[in-house]
Amino acid sequence: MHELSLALALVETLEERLRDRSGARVTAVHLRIGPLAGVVESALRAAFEVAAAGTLADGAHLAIERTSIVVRCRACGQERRIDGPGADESDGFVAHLIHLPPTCASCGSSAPAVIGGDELELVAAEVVDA
Amino acid sequence: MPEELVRLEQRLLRRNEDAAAELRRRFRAAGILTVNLMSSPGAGKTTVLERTLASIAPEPAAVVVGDLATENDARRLRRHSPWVRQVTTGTVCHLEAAMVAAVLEGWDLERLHYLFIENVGNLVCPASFDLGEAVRVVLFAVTEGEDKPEKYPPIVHRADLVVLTKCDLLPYLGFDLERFRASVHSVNPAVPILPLSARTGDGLGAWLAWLRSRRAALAVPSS
Repeated sequence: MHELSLALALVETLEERLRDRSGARVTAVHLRIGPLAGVVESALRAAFEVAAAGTLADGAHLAIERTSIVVRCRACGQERRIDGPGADESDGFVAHLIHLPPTCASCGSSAPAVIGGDELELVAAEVVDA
Repeated sequence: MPEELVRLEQRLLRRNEDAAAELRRRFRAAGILTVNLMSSPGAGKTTVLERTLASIAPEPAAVVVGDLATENDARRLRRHSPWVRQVTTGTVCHLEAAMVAAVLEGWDLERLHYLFIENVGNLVCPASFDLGEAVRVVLFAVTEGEDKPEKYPPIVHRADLVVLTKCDLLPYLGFDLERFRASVHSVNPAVPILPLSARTGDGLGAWLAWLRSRRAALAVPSS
Protein backbone atom coordinates (compact mmCIF):
# COMPACT_ATOMS: atom_id res chain seq x y z
CA MET A 1 0.00 0.00 0.00
CA HIS A 2 2.73 2.50 0.85
CA GLU A 3 4.05 2.17 -2.70
CA LEU A 4 1.68 5.01 -3.61
CA SER A 5 3.39 7.25 -1.02
CA LEU A 6 6.72 6.23 -2.51
CA ALA A 7 5.54 6.92 -6.05
CA LEU A 8 4.26 10.37 -5.05
CA ALA A 9 7.54 11.12 -3.27
CA LEU A 10 9.38 10.01 -6.40
CA VAL A 11 7.41 12.32 -8.69
CA GLU A 12 7.79 15.23 -6.26
CA THR A 13 11.52 14.67 -6.08
CA LEU A 14 11.84 14.58 -9.86
CA GLU A 15 9.87 17.83 -10.16
CA GLU A 16 12.03 19.44 -7.49
CA ARG A 17 15.39 18.33 -8.84
CA LEU A 18 14.57 19.10 -12.47
CA ARG A 19 12.79 22.39 -11.78
CA ASP A 20 15.37 24.48 -13.63
CA ARG A 21 14.94 22.49 -16.85
CA SER A 22 11.56 23.78 -17.85
CA GLY A 23 9.74 21.69 -20.40
CA ALA A 24 12.03 18.69 -19.88
CA ARG A 25 10.50 15.23 -19.97
CA VAL A 26 11.65 12.22 -18.01
CA THR A 27 11.67 9.06 -20.10
CA ALA A 28 13.18 6.68 -17.56
CA VAL A 29 13.87 6.64 -13.83
CA HIS A 30 16.62 4.53 -12.28
CA LEU A 31 15.98 3.27 -8.76
CA ARG A 32 18.02 1.16 -6.36
CA ILE A 33 15.95 -0.98 -4.01
CA GLY A 34 17.12 -3.43 -1.36
CA PRO A 35 15.27 -6.56 -0.24
CA LEU A 36 14.72 -5.07 3.22
CA ALA A 37 13.04 -1.92 1.88
CA GLY A 38 9.72 -3.74 1.81
CA VAL A 39 8.72 -2.65 -1.66
CA VAL A 40 6.51 -4.68 -3.97
CA GLU A 41 7.80 -3.93 -7.42
CA SER A 42 4.54 -4.44 -9.32
CA ALA A 43 2.70 -2.20 -6.84
CA LEU A 44 5.34 0.49 -7.21
CA ARG A 45 5.12 0.35 -11.00
CA ALA A 46 1.34 0.61 -10.94
CA ALA A 47 1.41 3.46 -8.42
CA PHE A 48 4.08 5.33 -10.37
CA GLU A 49 2.02 5.17 -13.53
CA VAL A 50 -0.82 6.90 -11.69
CA ALA A 51 1.37 9.36 -9.76
CA ALA A 52 3.31 10.39 -12.86
CA ALA A 53 0.27 10.98 -15.07
CA GLY A 54 0.20 14.58 -16.28
CA THR A 55 3.64 15.35 -14.82
CA LEU A 56 7.06 15.61 -16.41
CA ALA A 57 7.49 11.87 -15.81
CA ASP A 58 4.26 10.81 -17.52
CA GLY A 59 4.86 7.42 -19.11
CA ALA A 60 8.45 7.15 -17.85
CA HIS A 61 9.94 3.67 -17.55
CA LEU A 62 11.11 2.50 -14.13
CA ALA A 63 14.48 0.74 -14.20
CA ILE A 64 14.95 -1.00 -10.87
CA GLU A 65 18.32 -2.23 -9.69
CA ARG A 66 18.03 -4.67 -6.80
CA THR A 67 20.73 -4.86 -4.18
CA SER A 68 21.57 -7.68 -1.79
CA ILE A 69 21.57 -7.79 1.97
CA VAL A 70 25.08 -7.40 3.38
CA VAL A 71 25.97 -8.46 6.91
CA ARG A 72 29.19 -7.70 8.77
CA CYS A 73 30.45 -9.65 11.76
CA ARG A 74 30.72 -7.45 14.83
CA ALA A 75 33.75 -9.42 16.02
CA CYS A 76 35.97 -10.09 13.00
CA GLY A 77 34.57 -7.66 10.44
CA GLN A 78 33.95 -10.33 7.81
CA GLU A 79 31.30 -9.20 5.33
CA ARG A 80 28.92 -11.48 3.53
CA ARG A 81 26.29 -10.93 0.87
CA ILE A 82 22.97 -12.68 1.23
CA ASP A 83 21.20 -13.01 -2.05
CA GLY A 84 17.45 -12.89 -2.01
CA PRO A 85 15.30 -14.17 -4.81
CA GLY A 86 16.72 -13.21 -8.18
CA ALA A 87 15.37 -10.33 -10.21
CA ASP A 88 13.77 -12.76 -12.62
CA GLU A 89 11.87 -14.61 -9.92
CA SER A 90 8.44 -13.02 -9.83
CA ASP A 91 8.06 -9.43 -8.86
CA GLY A 92 6.43 -10.21 -5.56
CA PHE A 93 7.57 -9.19 -2.14
CA VAL A 94 11.34 -9.10 -2.55
CA ALA A 95 12.05 -9.68 1.11
CA HIS A 96 10.31 -13.03 1.40
CA LEU A 97 12.16 -15.84 3.06
CA ILE A 98 15.21 -13.90 4.03
CA HIS A 99 17.17 -15.73 6.65
CA LEU A 100 20.09 -13.93 8.15
CA PRO A 101 22.87 -16.17 9.41
CA PRO A 102 22.78 -16.37 13.21
CA THR A 103 26.56 -16.66 13.35
CA CYS A 104 29.55 -15.43 11.36
CA ALA A 105 30.71 -17.95 8.76
CA SER A 106 34.36 -17.20 9.43
CA CYS A 107 34.71 -16.78 13.21
CA GLY A 108 31.42 -18.13 14.57
CA SER A 109 30.53 -15.00 16.57
CA SER A 110 26.82 -14.47 16.93
CA ALA A 111 24.53 -11.74 15.65
CA PRO A 112 26.22 -10.15 12.66
CA ALA A 113 25.13 -6.57 11.91
CA VAL A 114 23.10 -5.82 8.80
CA ILE A 115 24.92 -3.06 6.92
CA GLY A 116 23.12 -3.09 3.57
CA GLY A 117 19.91 -4.17 1.93
CA ASP A 118 17.39 -1.49 2.88
CA GLU A 119 18.25 0.87 0.02
CA LEU A 120 15.43 2.91 -1.43
CA GLU A 121 17.19 5.38 -3.67
CA LEU A 122 16.61 7.49 -6.71
CA VAL A 123 19.76 7.02 -8.75
CA ALA A 124 19.21 8.93 -11.98
CA ALA A 125 16.70 10.11 -14.54
CA GLU A 126 16.86 9.99 -18.32
CA VAL A 127 15.78 13.41 -19.47
CA VAL A 128 14.83 14.87 -22.84
CA ASP A 129 14.79 18.65 -23.08
CA ALA A 130 11.90 20.35 -24.80
CA MET B 1 16.40 15.53 -29.03
CA PRO B 2 19.11 13.45 -27.28
CA GLU B 3 18.43 11.84 -23.95
CA GLU B 4 20.59 12.87 -21.08
CA LEU B 5 21.24 10.79 -17.99
CA VAL B 6 20.96 13.07 -14.96
CA ARG B 7 22.51 11.62 -11.80
CA LEU B 8 20.24 12.34 -8.84
CA GLU B 9 21.52 9.99 -6.09
CA GLN B 10 19.09 10.72 -3.32
CA ARG B 11 17.09 8.70 -0.84
CA LEU B 12 13.55 8.38 -2.09
CA LEU B 13 12.03 9.22 1.27
CA ARG B 14 14.36 12.11 2.00
CA ARG B 15 11.51 14.49 2.74
CA ASN B 16 10.20 12.17 5.43
CA GLU B 17 13.72 11.54 6.70
CA ASP B 18 14.36 15.28 7.00
CA ALA B 19 11.12 15.77 8.93
CA ALA B 20 12.01 12.81 11.15
CA ALA B 21 15.48 14.18 11.84
CA GLU B 22 13.95 17.47 12.97
CA LEU B 23 11.55 15.60 15.29
CA ARG B 24 14.41 13.51 16.66
CA ARG B 25 16.35 16.68 17.45
CA ARG B 26 13.32 18.13 19.30
CA PHE B 27 12.73 14.91 21.27
CA ARG B 28 16.37 14.70 22.31
CA ALA B 29 16.47 18.35 23.35
CA ALA B 30 13.39 17.79 25.51
CA GLY B 31 14.79 14.56 27.00
CA ILE B 32 11.86 12.46 25.74
CA LEU B 33 12.13 8.80 24.88
CA THR B 34 9.98 8.37 21.78
CA VAL B 35 8.80 4.84 21.10
CA ASN B 36 7.37 3.79 17.74
CA LEU B 37 5.03 0.83 18.41
CA MET B 38 4.22 -1.32 15.42
CA SER B 39 2.20 -4.51 14.96
CA SER B 40 -0.57 -6.05 12.92
CA PRO B 41 -4.12 -4.96 13.83
CA GLY B 42 -5.27 -6.59 17.04
CA ALA B 43 -1.89 -7.57 18.50
CA GLY B 44 -2.65 -5.52 21.59
CA LYS B 45 -0.85 -2.19 21.14
CA THR B 46 -3.58 -0.14 22.80
CA THR B 47 -4.01 -2.55 25.72
CA VAL B 48 -0.27 -2.64 26.33
CA LEU B 49 -0.25 1.15 26.25
CA GLU B 50 -3.15 1.42 28.70
CA ARG B 51 -1.21 -0.72 31.18
CA THR B 52 2.01 1.14 30.45
CA LEU B 53 0.50 4.57 31.05
CA ALA B 54 -1.16 3.42 34.28
CA SER B 55 2.07 1.86 35.55
CA ILE B 56 4.59 4.46 34.47
CA ALA B 57 2.70 7.30 36.22
CA PRO B 58 3.58 9.70 37.78
CA GLU B 59 6.17 9.99 35.01
CA PRO B 60 4.45 12.04 32.30
CA ALA B 61 3.85 10.05 29.14
CA ALA B 62 2.03 11.06 25.95
CA VAL B 63 0.54 8.98 23.16
CA VAL B 64 -0.01 9.70 19.50
CA VAL B 65 -2.20 7.01 18.02
CA GLY B 66 -2.71 6.38 14.33
CA ASP B 67 -5.68 4.66 12.74
CA LEU B 68 -7.49 4.93 9.44
CA ALA B 69 -10.66 6.03 11.22
CA THR B 70 -12.27 6.55 14.65
CA GLU B 71 -11.08 8.07 17.91
CA ASN B 72 -11.72 4.81 19.79
CA ASP B 73 -8.12 4.16 20.80
CA ALA B 74 -7.54 7.74 21.91
CA ARG B 75 -10.71 7.58 24.03
CA ARG B 76 -9.44 4.46 25.80
CA LEU B 77 -6.02 5.94 26.40
CA ARG B 78 -7.30 9.30 27.68
CA ARG B 79 -8.40 7.58 30.87
CA HIS B 80 -4.72 7.15 31.67
CA SER B 81 -3.03 10.28 30.37
CA PRO B 82 -4.06 13.85 29.56
CA TRP B 83 -1.65 13.83 26.60
CA VAL B 84 -3.34 11.64 23.99
CA ARG B 85 -3.96 12.60 20.40
CA GLN B 86 -5.39 10.59 17.54
CA VAL B 87 -4.22 10.86 13.96
CA THR B 88 -6.80 9.56 11.52
CA THR B 89 -4.99 8.82 8.31
CA GLY B 90 -8.00 8.25 6.03
CA THR B 91 -6.73 5.45 3.84
CA VAL B 92 -3.02 5.94 4.46
CA CYS B 93 -1.59 2.71 5.80
CA HIS B 94 1.19 4.15 7.98
CA LEU B 95 2.19 7.30 9.88
CA GLU B 96 4.67 9.76 8.39
CA ALA B 97 6.90 12.19 10.25
CA ALA B 98 4.94 15.24 9.06
CA MET B 99 1.70 13.81 10.52
CA VAL B 100 3.41 13.36 13.88
CA ALA B 101 4.89 16.86 13.77
CA ALA B 102 1.46 18.34 13.03
CA VAL B 103 -0.28 16.53 15.86
CA LEU B 104 2.34 17.57 18.44
CA GLU B 105 1.44 21.22 17.89
CA GLY B 106 0.82 22.99 21.19
CA TRP B 107 2.29 20.32 23.45
CA ASP B 108 5.10 21.41 25.75
CA LEU B 109 7.51 18.55 25.07
CA GLU B 110 9.76 19.66 27.93
CA ARG B 111 7.12 18.42 30.37
CA LEU B 112 7.10 14.86 29.04
CA HIS B 113 9.34 11.87 29.73
CA TYR B 114 7.89 9.50 27.17
CA LEU B 115 6.06 9.73 23.87
CA PHE B 116 4.51 6.55 22.52
CA ILE B 117 3.52 6.55 18.88
CA GLU B 118 1.01 3.79 18.21
CA ASN B 119 1.42 3.26 14.50
CA VAL B 120 -1.33 2.10 12.15
CA GLY B 121 -1.86 -1.65 12.58
CA ASN B 122 0.20 -2.97 9.68
CA LEU B 123 3.39 -5.00 9.57
CA VAL B 124 4.51 -3.79 6.15
CA CYS B 125 4.31 -0.08 5.43
CA PRO B 126 5.26 1.53 8.78
CA ALA B 127 8.71 -0.09 8.47
CA SER B 128 9.75 2.40 5.79
CA PHE B 129 8.79 5.62 7.56
CA ASP B 130 11.07 7.08 10.23
CA LEU B 131 9.06 9.11 12.75
CA GLY B 132 12.00 10.52 14.67
CA GLU B 133 11.64 7.83 17.33
CA ALA B 134 14.49 6.78 19.61
CA VAL B 135 13.37 3.15 19.63
CA ARG B 136 11.22 0.88 17.48
CA VAL B 137 9.18 -1.78 19.19
CA VAL B 138 7.37 -4.48 17.24
CA LEU B 139 4.58 -6.45 18.93
CA PHE B 140 3.40 -9.91 18.01
CA ALA B 141 0.56 -11.68 19.80
CA VAL B 142 0.81 -15.37 20.71
CA THR B 143 -2.33 -15.91 18.62
CA GLU B 144 -0.49 -14.90 15.46
CA GLY B 145 1.70 -17.94 14.88
CA GLU B 146 5.39 -18.42 15.52
CA ASP B 147 6.64 -17.72 12.02
CA LYS B 148 5.06 -14.28 11.63
CA PRO B 149 8.37 -12.43 12.20
CA GLU B 150 10.12 -14.08 9.26
CA LYS B 151 7.13 -13.34 7.04
CA TYR B 152 7.60 -9.60 7.64
CA PRO B 153 11.38 -9.16 7.64
CA PRO B 154 11.72 -5.40 7.07
CA ILE B 155 9.82 -4.39 10.19
CA VAL B 156 11.56 -6.96 12.39
CA HIS B 157 14.94 -6.16 10.92
CA ARG B 158 14.75 -2.59 12.24
CA ALA B 159 13.24 -3.37 15.66
CA ASP B 160 15.04 -2.50 18.90
CA LEU B 161 12.72 -4.73 20.89
CA VAL B 162 10.17 -7.42 20.06
CA VAL B 163 7.30 -7.78 22.53
CA LEU B 164 5.28 -10.98 22.55
CA THR B 165 1.81 -10.06 23.81
CA LYS B 166 -1.16 -11.96 25.26
CA CYS B 167 1.17 -14.45 26.96
CA ASP B 168 -1.60 -15.33 29.43
CA LEU B 169 -3.08 -17.34 26.54
CA LEU B 170 0.02 -19.53 26.16
CA PRO B 171 -1.42 -22.46 28.16
CA TYR B 172 -4.34 -22.69 25.71
CA LEU B 173 -2.37 -22.50 22.48
CA GLY B 174 0.21 -24.69 20.85
CA PHE B 175 2.52 -21.69 20.56
CA ASP B 176 6.18 -22.74 20.35
CA LEU B 177 8.24 -20.01 22.03
CA GLU B 178 11.54 -21.37 20.80
CA ARG B 179 10.28 -21.47 17.24
CA PHE B 180 9.17 -17.83 17.64
CA ARG B 181 12.58 -16.80 19.00
CA ALA B 182 14.30 -18.51 16.08
CA SER B 183 11.98 -16.75 13.64
CA VAL B 184 12.72 -13.31 15.13
CA HIS B 185 16.45 -13.93 15.29
CA SER B 186 16.61 -15.21 11.73
CA VAL B 187 15.81 -11.65 10.67
CA ASN B 188 17.29 -9.60 13.51
CA PRO B 189 19.89 -11.73 15.29
CA ALA B 190 20.53 -9.46 18.28
CA VAL B 191 17.08 -8.09 19.14
CA PRO B 192 15.77 -8.83 22.66
CA ILE B 193 12.36 -10.51 23.00
CA LEU B 194 10.08 -9.63 25.88
CA PRO B 195 7.06 -11.83 26.74
CA LEU B 196 4.21 -9.79 28.19
CA SER B 197 0.65 -10.14 29.38
CA ALA B 198 -1.12 -6.83 29.73
CA ARG B 199 -4.01 -8.71 31.36
CA THR B 200 -2.07 -10.34 34.21
CA GLY B 201 0.79 -7.85 34.33
CA ASP B 202 3.43 -10.55 33.76
CA GLY B 203 6.43 -9.00 32.04
CA LEU B 204 5.25 -5.47 32.70
CA GLY B 205 8.11 -4.82 35.11
CA ALA B 206 10.68 -5.86 32.53
CA TRP B 207 9.00 -3.68 29.89
CA LEU B 208 9.03 -0.62 32.16
CA ALA B 209 12.64 -1.31 33.13
CA TRP B 210 13.58 -1.51 29.45
CA LEU B 211 11.85 1.83 28.75
CA ARG B 212 13.55 3.50 31.72
CA SER B 213 16.97 2.21 30.75
CA ARG B 214 16.53 3.44 27.19
CA ARG B 215 15.44 6.83 28.48
CA ALA B 216 18.46 6.97 30.81
CA ALA B 217 20.71 6.13 27.86
CA LEU B 218 19.43 9.23 26.04
CA ALA B 219 21.08 11.45 28.62
CA VAL B 220 24.49 9.94 27.90
CA PRO B 221 26.08 11.90 25.07
CA SER B 222 26.97 9.57 22.24
CA SER B 223 30.67 9.53 21.47
